[in-house]
Amino acid sequence: MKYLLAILALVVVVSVLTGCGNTTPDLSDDAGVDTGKDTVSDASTAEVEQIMGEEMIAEDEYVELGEMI
Amino acid sequence: MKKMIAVLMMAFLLMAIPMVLADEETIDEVSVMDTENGAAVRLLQLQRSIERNIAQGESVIAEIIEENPDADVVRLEEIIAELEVLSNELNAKVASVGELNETEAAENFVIIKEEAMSLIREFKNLARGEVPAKAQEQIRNRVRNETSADVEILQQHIQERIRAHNAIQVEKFLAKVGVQDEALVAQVQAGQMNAGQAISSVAQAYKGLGQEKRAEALAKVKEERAKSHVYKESVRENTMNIAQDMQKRAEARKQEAQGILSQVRGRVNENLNAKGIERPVAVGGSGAIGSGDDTGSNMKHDAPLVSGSVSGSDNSGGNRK
Repeated sequence: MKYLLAILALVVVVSVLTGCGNTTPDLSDDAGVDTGKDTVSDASTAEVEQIMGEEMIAEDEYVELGEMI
Repeated sequence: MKKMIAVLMMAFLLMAIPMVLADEETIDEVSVMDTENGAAVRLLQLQRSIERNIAQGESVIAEIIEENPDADVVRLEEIIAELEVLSNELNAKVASVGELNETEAAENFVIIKEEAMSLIREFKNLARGEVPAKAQEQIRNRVRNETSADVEILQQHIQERIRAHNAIQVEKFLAKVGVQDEALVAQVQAGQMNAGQAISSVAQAYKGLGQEKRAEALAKVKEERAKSHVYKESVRENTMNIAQDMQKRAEARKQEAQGILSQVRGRVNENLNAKGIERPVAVGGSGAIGSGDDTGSNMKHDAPLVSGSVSGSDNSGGNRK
Protein backbone atom coordinates (compact mmCIF):
# COMPACT_ATOMS: atom_id res chain seq x y z
CA MET A 1 0.00 0.00 0.00
CA LYS A 2 2.86 2.35 0.94
CA TYR A 3 4.54 1.63 -2.40
CA LEU A 4 1.32 2.32 -4.29
CA LEU A 5 0.99 5.68 -2.60
CA ALA A 6 4.60 6.51 -3.32
CA ILE A 7 4.13 5.67 -7.02
CA LEU A 8 0.97 7.79 -7.20
CA ALA A 9 2.77 10.70 -5.56
CA LEU A 10 5.60 10.36 -8.04
CA VAL A 11 3.16 10.35 -10.98
CA VAL A 12 1.53 13.52 -9.65
CA VAL A 13 4.87 15.28 -9.18
CA VAL A 14 6.06 14.29 -12.67
CA SER A 15 2.82 15.42 -14.33
CA VAL A 16 2.95 18.76 -12.53
CA LEU A 17 6.58 19.30 -13.53
CA THR A 18 6.00 18.38 -17.18
CA GLY A 19 2.88 20.48 -17.46
CA CYS A 20 0.62 17.52 -18.21
CA GLY A 21 -3.01 18.64 -18.38
CA ASN A 22 -2.04 22.29 -18.83
CA THR A 23 -5.03 24.07 -20.39
CA THR A 24 -3.58 27.57 -20.42
CA PRO A 25 -4.17 29.03 -23.91
CA ASP A 26 -1.14 29.74 -26.10
CA LEU A 27 -0.77 33.50 -26.27
CA SER A 28 2.40 33.66 -28.28
CA ASP A 29 2.47 35.73 -31.48
CA ASP A 30 2.32 32.78 -33.84
CA ALA A 31 -0.35 30.89 -31.93
CA GLY A 32 -2.86 29.33 -34.28
CA VAL A 33 -1.10 30.56 -37.42
CA ASP A 34 -0.23 27.80 -39.95
CA THR A 35 2.93 26.80 -38.04
CA GLY A 36 1.87 23.17 -38.32
CA LYS A 37 2.24 23.26 -42.10
CA ASP A 38 5.69 24.81 -41.88
CA THR A 39 6.79 22.17 -39.41
CA VAL A 40 5.56 19.42 -41.74
CA SER A 41 7.33 21.10 -44.67
CA ASP A 42 10.59 21.44 -42.70
CA ALA A 43 10.38 17.85 -41.56
CA SER A 44 9.86 16.53 -45.07
CA THR A 45 12.68 18.74 -46.44
CA ALA A 46 14.95 17.40 -43.72
CA GLU A 47 13.93 13.88 -44.72
CA VAL A 48 14.81 14.56 -48.37
CA GLU A 49 18.16 15.99 -47.27
CA GLN A 50 18.83 12.97 -45.08
CA ILE A 51 18.00 10.44 -47.80
CA MET A 52 20.15 12.37 -50.31
CA GLY A 53 22.95 12.48 -47.75
CA GLU A 54 22.87 8.68 -47.55
CA GLU A 55 23.14 8.35 -51.33
CA MET A 56 25.93 10.88 -51.86
CA ILE A 57 29.62 10.67 -50.93
CA ALA A 58 31.65 13.39 -49.21
CA GLU A 59 35.14 13.94 -50.66
CA ASP A 60 36.84 13.64 -47.27
CA GLU A 61 35.43 10.18 -46.46
CA TYR A 62 37.86 7.33 -45.98
CA VAL A 63 37.83 3.65 -45.00
CA GLU A 64 39.30 3.14 -41.54
CA LEU A 65 41.45 0.01 -41.11
CA GLY A 66 43.41 0.74 -37.93
CA GLU A 67 47.00 1.68 -37.08
CA MET A 68 50.07 -0.43 -37.74
CA ILE A 69 51.57 -0.03 -34.27
CA MET B 1 27.94 -30.75 -19.77
CA LYS B 2 31.28 -30.10 -21.51
CA LYS B 3 29.76 -31.20 -24.82
CA MET B 4 26.90 -28.82 -24.34
CA ILE B 5 29.25 -25.91 -23.66
CA ALA B 6 31.30 -26.83 -26.74
CA VAL B 7 28.15 -26.94 -28.91
CA LEU B 8 27.02 -23.58 -27.53
CA MET B 9 30.45 -22.05 -28.20
CA MET B 10 30.46 -23.40 -31.77
CA ALA B 11 27.00 -21.96 -32.34
CA PHE B 12 28.17 -18.61 -31.00
CA LEU B 13 31.22 -18.65 -33.26
CA LEU B 14 29.14 -19.51 -36.32
CA MET B 15 26.83 -16.61 -35.47
CA ALA B 16 29.77 -14.30 -34.83
CA ILE B 17 31.53 -14.79 -38.21
CA PRO B 18 28.88 -13.10 -40.35
CA MET B 19 28.42 -10.42 -37.69
CA VAL B 20 32.11 -9.62 -37.82
CA LEU B 21 32.09 -9.50 -41.61
CA ALA B 22 29.17 -7.18 -41.91
CA ASP B 23 29.39 -4.67 -39.06
CA GLU B 24 27.13 -1.63 -39.28
CA GLU B 25 29.90 0.76 -40.36
CA THR B 26 30.82 -1.50 -43.27
CA ILE B 27 27.18 -1.99 -44.26
CA ASP B 28 26.75 1.81 -44.29
CA GLU B 29 29.84 2.08 -46.47
CA VAL B 30 28.45 -0.39 -49.03
CA SER B 31 25.13 1.44 -49.26
CA VAL B 32 26.46 3.54 -52.17
CA MET B 33 27.91 0.53 -54.01
CA ASP B 34 24.79 -0.18 -56.04
CA THR B 35 26.08 2.23 -58.70
CA GLU B 36 29.24 1.71 -60.76
CA ASN B 37 30.92 4.90 -59.55
CA GLY B 38 29.84 4.29 -55.95
CA ALA B 39 31.30 0.77 -56.10
CA ALA B 40 34.54 2.10 -57.62
CA VAL B 41 34.80 4.79 -54.91
CA ARG B 42 34.56 2.31 -52.02
CA LEU B 43 36.96 -0.20 -53.63
CA LEU B 44 39.45 2.62 -54.32
CA GLN B 45 39.09 4.05 -50.81
CA LEU B 46 39.79 0.61 -49.39
CA GLN B 47 42.81 0.24 -51.67
CA ARG B 48 44.09 3.68 -50.65
CA SER B 49 43.80 2.77 -46.95
CA ILE B 50 45.61 -0.53 -47.54
CA GLU B 51 48.39 1.24 -49.51
CA ARG B 52 48.75 3.79 -46.72
CA ASN B 53 49.01 1.01 -44.14
CA ILE B 54 51.59 -0.77 -46.33
CA ALA B 55 53.74 2.39 -46.46
CA GLN B 56 53.40 2.86 -42.71
CA GLY B 57 54.02 -0.83 -42.03
CA GLU B 58 57.28 -0.79 -43.99
CA SER B 59 58.43 2.23 -42.01
CA VAL B 60 57.44 0.50 -38.77
CA ILE B 61 59.56 -2.54 -39.72
CA ALA B 62 62.56 -0.31 -40.46
CA GLU B 63 62.02 1.54 -37.17
CA ILE B 64 61.81 -1.76 -35.28
CA ILE B 65 65.07 -2.99 -36.84
CA GLU B 66 66.70 0.34 -35.98
CA GLU B 67 65.39 0.12 -32.41
CA ASN B 68 66.18 -3.55 -31.96
CA PRO B 69 68.49 -5.19 -34.55
CA ASP B 70 67.63 -8.63 -33.10
CA ALA B 71 63.91 -8.21 -33.66
CA ASP B 72 62.11 -10.93 -35.61
CA VAL B 73 60.34 -9.16 -38.48
CA VAL B 74 59.74 -12.14 -40.77
CA ARG B 75 56.02 -12.37 -40.16
CA LEU B 76 55.67 -8.57 -40.29
CA GLU B 77 57.09 -8.54 -43.82
CA GLU B 78 54.87 -11.45 -44.80
CA ILE B 79 51.83 -9.51 -43.59
CA ILE B 80 52.83 -6.49 -45.69
CA ALA B 81 53.16 -8.81 -48.70
CA GLU B 82 49.69 -10.22 -47.96
CA LEU B 83 48.27 -6.71 -47.77
CA GLU B 84 49.83 -6.06 -51.13
CA VAL B 85 48.06 -9.12 -52.55
CA LEU B 86 44.78 -7.60 -51.34
CA SER B 87 45.66 -4.23 -52.90
CA ASN B 88 46.42 -5.93 -56.23
CA GLU B 89 43.11 -7.79 -56.01
CA LEU B 90 41.30 -4.47 -55.47
CA ASN B 91 43.16 -3.00 -58.43
CA ALA B 92 41.78 -5.77 -60.64
CA LYS B 93 38.26 -5.35 -59.21
CA VAL B 94 38.25 -1.61 -59.90
CA ALA B 95 39.45 -2.21 -63.46
CA SER B 96 36.47 -4.52 -64.08
CA VAL B 97 33.95 -2.78 -61.81
CA GLY B 98 31.53 -2.25 -64.71
CA GLU B 99 31.31 -6.01 -65.20
CA LEU B 100 30.54 -6.83 -61.56
CA ASN B 101 26.90 -7.04 -60.55
CA GLU B 102 25.73 -4.66 -57.85
CA THR B 103 26.15 -7.06 -54.93
CA GLU B 104 29.44 -8.66 -56.12
CA ALA B 105 31.41 -5.42 -55.72
CA ALA B 106 29.99 -4.88 -52.21
CA GLU B 107 30.71 -8.47 -51.17
CA ASN B 108 34.30 -8.12 -52.38
CA PHE B 109 34.62 -4.89 -50.42
CA VAL B 110 33.29 -6.49 -47.21
CA ILE B 111 35.54 -9.55 -47.35
CA ILE B 112 38.73 -7.71 -48.42
CA LYS B 113 38.17 -5.04 -45.75
CA GLU B 114 37.75 -7.69 -43.06
CA GLU B 115 40.87 -9.55 -44.25
CA ALA B 116 42.90 -6.32 -44.31
CA MET B 117 41.74 -5.37 -40.81
CA SER B 118 42.59 -8.81 -39.52
CA LEU B 119 46.12 -8.64 -41.04
CA ILE B 120 46.63 -5.12 -39.65
CA ARG B 121 45.55 -6.27 -36.15
CA GLU B 122 48.05 -9.14 -36.36
CA PHE B 123 50.80 -6.77 -37.54
CA LYS B 124 50.10 -4.29 -34.75
CA ASN B 125 50.16 -6.98 -32.04
CA LEU B 126 53.44 -8.45 -33.33
CA ALA B 127 55.07 -5.05 -33.83
CA ARG B 128 54.15 -3.98 -30.31
CA GLY B 129 55.80 -7.12 -28.99
CA GLU B 130 59.11 -6.20 -30.61
CA VAL B 131 59.68 -2.75 -29.09
CA PRO B 132 59.05 -1.18 -25.66
CA ALA B 133 55.87 0.87 -25.11
CA LYS B 134 57.69 4.21 -25.16
CA ALA B 135 59.31 3.44 -28.51
CA GLN B 136 55.91 2.30 -29.90
CA GLU B 137 54.46 5.75 -29.28
CA GLN B 138 57.45 7.47 -30.92
CA ILE B 139 57.30 5.17 -33.96
CA ARG B 140 53.52 5.69 -34.24
CA ASN B 141 54.02 9.46 -34.33
CA ARG B 142 56.83 9.22 -36.87
CA VAL B 143 54.96 6.99 -39.37
CA ARG B 144 51.47 8.49 -38.91
CA ASN B 145 51.75 10.75 -41.96
CA GLU B 146 53.72 8.26 -44.02
CA THR B 147 52.28 7.90 -47.49
CA SER B 148 53.33 6.83 -50.97
CA ALA B 149 52.96 7.95 -54.58
CA ASP B 150 50.38 5.18 -55.06
CA VAL B 151 48.19 6.73 -52.34
CA GLU B 152 48.28 10.11 -54.09
CA ILE B 153 47.34 8.59 -57.46
CA LEU B 154 44.48 6.67 -55.86
CA GLN B 155 43.25 9.87 -54.20
CA GLN B 156 42.86 11.55 -57.60
CA HIS B 157 40.88 8.61 -58.99
CA ILE B 158 38.65 8.58 -55.89
CA GLN B 159 37.89 12.29 -56.30
CA GLU B 160 36.92 11.85 -59.98
CA ARG B 161 34.65 8.92 -59.16
CA ILE B 162 33.02 10.73 -56.21
CA ARG B 163 32.19 13.75 -58.37
CA ALA B 164 30.76 11.55 -61.12
CA HIS B 165 28.72 9.57 -58.57
CA ASN B 166 27.36 12.70 -56.86
CA ALA B 167 26.48 14.36 -60.18
CA ILE B 168 24.38 11.32 -61.13
CA GLN B 169 22.68 11.33 -57.72
CA VAL B 170 21.85 15.05 -57.98
CA GLU B 171 20.43 14.50 -61.46
CA LYS B 172 18.37 11.59 -60.18
CA PHE B 173 16.98 13.49 -57.16
CA LEU B 174 16.21 16.54 -59.29
CA ALA B 175 14.24 14.28 -61.62
CA LYS B 176 12.24 12.95 -58.65
CA VAL B 177 11.51 16.49 -57.53
CA GLY B 178 10.53 17.30 -61.13
CA VAL B 179 13.17 19.98 -61.64
CA GLN B 180 15.77 20.25 -64.39
CA ASP B 181 19.01 22.01 -63.52
CA GLU B 182 21.85 20.99 -65.78
CA ALA B 183 24.09 23.75 -64.45
CA LEU B 184 23.86 22.31 -60.92
CA VAL B 185 24.73 18.83 -62.17
CA ALA B 186 27.69 20.23 -64.14
CA GLN B 187 28.96 22.12 -61.10
CA VAL B 188 28.92 18.94 -58.98
CA GLN B 189 30.65 16.99 -61.76
CA ALA B 190 33.36 19.68 -62.04
CA GLY B 191 33.92 19.75 -58.27
CA GLN B 192 32.74 23.36 -58.00
CA MET B 193 30.04 22.29 -55.57
CA ASN B 194 30.49 19.73 -52.79
CA ALA B 195 27.95 17.11 -51.68
CA GLY B 196 26.54 19.24 -48.82
CA GLN B 197 25.98 22.27 -51.06
CA ALA B 198 24.34 20.12 -53.74
CA ILE B 199 21.99 18.57 -51.18
CA SER B 200 20.96 22.06 -49.99
CA SER B 201 20.27 23.14 -53.57
CA VAL B 202 18.04 20.13 -54.25
CA ALA B 203 16.31 20.67 -50.90
CA GLN B 204 15.60 24.28 -51.89
CA ALA B 205 14.08 23.10 -55.18
CA TYR B 206 11.95 20.65 -53.21
CA LYS B 207 10.87 23.34 -50.75
CA GLY B 208 9.72 25.53 -53.62
CA LEU B 209 7.18 22.96 -54.80
CA GLY B 210 3.48 23.10 -54.05
CA GLN B 211 2.13 20.88 -51.29
CA GLU B 212 0.80 18.20 -53.65
CA LYS B 213 3.96 17.99 -55.75
CA ARG B 214 6.05 17.90 -52.62
CA ALA B 215 4.15 14.88 -51.31
CA GLU B 216 4.60 13.17 -54.68
CA ALA B 217 8.34 13.92 -54.72
CA LEU B 218 8.77 12.76 -51.12
CA ALA B 219 7.11 9.44 -51.96
CA LYS B 220 9.57 8.93 -54.85
CA VAL B 221 12.55 9.83 -52.66
CA LYS B 222 11.35 7.42 -49.97
CA GLU B 223 11.17 4.70 -52.62
CA GLU B 224 14.89 5.27 -53.13
CA ARG B 225 15.56 4.70 -49.44
CA ALA B 226 13.50 1.49 -49.48
CA LYS B 227 15.58 0.20 -52.43
CA SER B 228 18.74 1.06 -50.53
CA HIS B 229 17.55 -0.92 -47.48
CA VAL B 230 16.76 -3.97 -49.63
CA TYR B 231 20.22 -3.71 -51.23
CA LYS B 232 22.01 -3.45 -47.88
CA GLU B 233 20.14 -6.47 -46.54
CA SER B 234 21.03 -8.56 -49.61
CA VAL B 235 24.72 -7.66 -49.12
CA ARG B 236 24.49 -8.57 -45.44
CA GLU B 237 22.97 -11.98 -46.26
CA ASN B 238 25.41 -12.74 -49.08
CA THR B 239 28.49 -11.97 -46.97
CA MET B 240 27.42 -14.73 -44.58
CA ASN B 241 28.07 -17.24 -47.40
CA ILE B 242 31.40 -15.65 -48.28
CA ALA B 243 32.65 -16.23 -44.71
CA GLN B 244 33.00 -19.92 -45.51
CA ASP B 245 35.53 -19.17 -48.28
CA MET B 246 37.81 -17.09 -46.08
CA GLN B 247 40.08 -19.99 -45.12
CA LYS B 248 40.66 -20.89 -48.76
CA ARG B 249 41.32 -17.28 -49.64
CA ALA B 250 43.84 -16.96 -46.78
CA GLU B 251 45.82 -19.97 -48.01
CA ALA B 252 45.92 -18.69 -51.60
CA ARG B 253 46.91 -15.20 -50.40
CA LYS B 254 49.79 -16.52 -48.27
CA GLN B 255 51.13 -18.44 -51.25
CA GLU B 256 50.90 -15.42 -53.56
CA ALA B 257 52.48 -13.18 -50.91
CA GLN B 258 55.66 -15.31 -50.93
CA GLY B 259 56.20 -14.23 -54.54
CA ILE B 260 56.33 -10.53 -53.63
CA LEU B 261 58.08 -10.80 -50.28
CA SER B 262 61.45 -9.87 -51.76
CA GLN B 263 60.01 -6.57 -53.05
CA VAL B 264 58.72 -5.75 -49.56
CA ARG B 265 62.17 -6.48 -48.08
CA GLY B 266 63.76 -4.34 -50.76
CA ARG B 267 61.61 -1.38 -49.74
CA VAL B 268 62.22 -1.93 -46.01
CA ASN B 269 65.95 -1.94 -46.80
CA GLU B 270 65.51 1.31 -48.72
CA ASN B 271 63.95 2.83 -45.60
CA LEU B 272 66.90 1.61 -43.54
CA ASN B 273 69.43 2.88 -46.07
CA ALA B 274 67.76 6.30 -45.95
CA LYS B 275 68.52 6.32 -42.23
CA GLY B 276 72.11 5.28 -42.94
CA ILE B 277 71.55 1.84 -41.39
CA GLU B 278 72.87 -1.40 -42.83
CA ARG B 279 70.42 -4.25 -42.36
CA PRO B 280 71.78 -7.20 -40.34
CA VAL B 281 72.27 -10.30 -42.48
CA ALA B 282 70.07 -12.39 -40.22
CA VAL B 283 67.50 -10.97 -37.83
CA GLY B 284 65.51 -12.92 -35.27
CA GLY B 285 67.30 -16.15 -36.09
CA SER B 286 65.98 -16.26 -39.62
CA GLY B 287 68.42 -16.29 -42.47
CA ALA B 288 65.61 -15.15 -44.74
CA ILE B 289 65.77 -11.55 -43.61
CA GLY B 290 67.62 -9.34 -46.00
CA SER B 291 68.09 -12.20 -48.39
CA GLY B 292 65.60 -10.86 -50.88
CA ASP B 293 66.03 -8.72 -53.92
CA ASP B 294 67.44 -5.51 -52.55
CA THR B 295 66.98 -3.53 -55.68
CA GLY B 296 64.33 -1.59 -53.80
CA SER B 297 61.77 -1.69 -56.55
CA ASN B 298 58.86 0.64 -55.93
CA MET B 299 56.81 -0.94 -58.68
CA LYS B 300 54.39 -2.84 -56.52
CA HIS B 301 51.63 -3.54 -59.00
CA ASP B 302 51.73 -5.89 -61.92
CA ALA B 303 49.15 -3.75 -63.70
CA PRO B 304 49.05 0.06 -63.73
CA LEU B 305 47.11 1.49 -60.80
CA VAL B 306 43.41 1.75 -61.51
CA SER B 307 42.29 1.36 -65.04
CA GLY B 308 38.76 1.80 -66.38
CA SER B 309 36.99 5.05 -67.01
CA VAL B 310 34.84 7.15 -64.75
CA SER B 311 31.18 6.97 -65.65
CA GLY B 312 29.86 10.43 -66.25
CA SER B 313 26.58 12.03 -65.30
CA ASP B 314 24.90 11.07 -68.54
CA ASN B 315 23.68 7.84 -66.96
CA SER B 316 25.29 5.83 -69.74
CA GLY B 317 25.72 2.71 -67.70
CA GLY B 318 27.05 4.60 -64.72
CA ASN B 319 24.08 3.98 -62.52
CA ARG B 320 23.11 0.39 -62.04
CA LYS B 321 20.04 1.02 -59.90
